[in-house]
Amino acid sequence: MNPDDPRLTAYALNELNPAERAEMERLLRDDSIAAEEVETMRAFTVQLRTRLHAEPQFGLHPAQRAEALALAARETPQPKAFVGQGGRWLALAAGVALGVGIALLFPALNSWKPGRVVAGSAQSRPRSGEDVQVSLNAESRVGAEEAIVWVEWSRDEVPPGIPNLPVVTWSVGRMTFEVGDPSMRFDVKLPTIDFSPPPTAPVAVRASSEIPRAKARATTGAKTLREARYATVPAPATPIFDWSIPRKGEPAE
Amino acid sequence: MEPAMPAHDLPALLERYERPLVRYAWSILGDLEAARDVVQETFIRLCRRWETESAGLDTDEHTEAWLFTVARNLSIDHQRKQSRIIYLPQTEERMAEEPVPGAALEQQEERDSIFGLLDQLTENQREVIRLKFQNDLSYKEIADITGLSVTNVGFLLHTGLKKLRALLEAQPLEEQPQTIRKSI
Repeated sequence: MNPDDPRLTAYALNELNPAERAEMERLLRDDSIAAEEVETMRAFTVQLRTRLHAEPQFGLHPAQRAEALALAARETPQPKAFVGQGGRWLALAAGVALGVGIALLFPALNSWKPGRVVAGSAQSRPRSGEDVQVSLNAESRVGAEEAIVWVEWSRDEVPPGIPNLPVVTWSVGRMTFEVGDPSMRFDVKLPTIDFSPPPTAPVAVRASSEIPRAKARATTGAKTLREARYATVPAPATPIFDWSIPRKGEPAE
Repeated sequence: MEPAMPAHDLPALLERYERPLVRYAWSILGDLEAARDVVQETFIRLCRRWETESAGLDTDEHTEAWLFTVARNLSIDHQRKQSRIIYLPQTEERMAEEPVPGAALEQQEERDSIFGLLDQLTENQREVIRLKFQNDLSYKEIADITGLSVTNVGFLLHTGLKKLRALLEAQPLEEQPQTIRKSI
């Protein structure tokens, strides 16, 4: 039997139908080389499967997952209620009103040009198991606006529990501003970062947001790391705050 | 075997498929953030499908194949839009969720070696190997997802595995992953 016959691999992977399988077993009884090839392929694929399953996996950002779940809650089919003649007229009126509302709102939405709110940097040294909180106060702005806050860790080394990427972004907060709301405030609590043992290379932590005008405040516990007002500036963004932690052996702050 | 899940149970589907789908899309796109966007859109389309179609996706297998197919198609669309048609290797950006001193470092190097060799296969070979051994899909399911014939899937797997074994054999002994070296 030709050792390059794909049926050998299919047999090793249990992908043949019963008739093909019986035929293959008959052939293998008389062909020790092919039988050895099957065993080698089977052992190899067991190990390969183990290695591929060990590859790290990453999910969606919390905000992405929340958005999908919110959509599912809205769109999962519900039992249809009986709609009488009066209900039809009511639905038609509601549809017309909604259309008019969208038409009135649309120019405001269309005229809004999103900018990126950025801020300077603050020096701090994260401690083991420290929670970081970022607060943003958005200033008056007319129009439906969405604020997205995210945090990046950039580093040369992998602290425990943090993925080994040059830059990792977690989108940690997302909200939509009410039309004409003079002030919005929301707090975003970031994932806990555990920096023990101390890294041997600098680690920078940065947070940014996309809202037109805001006051940003970064805190750890009762300590304020950075607080400043920001206006829309063109991209590229600079971070709201940057932390840099020392190389191993340097004195702690 | 995984337990069956109730139909239209998005939290359960996210729990089971979110990470495998991100990993699969990432292997096509070479961009983790783009992969996440693609997978979010995949789940959003699933919700919309539930809204418009009461039939179909009535089994776990159908749902799984549908999710992988849509994630694949969206990834390819994304590539076209970005004019980045090539598969980018993940090796340099591959993440580790565990610290890598000592034995863990050895495991990391071993994984990198295998993934480095996978990058030397053709795109089709790499994809079917990932779908088969990383996601435990059958030839038929892989054929449904990729649009290839079952025969072609079998051929690609056979040739891809043979080439992978040959690449491993060609490595100096000290660079071969030990557990796999035993099986060559």
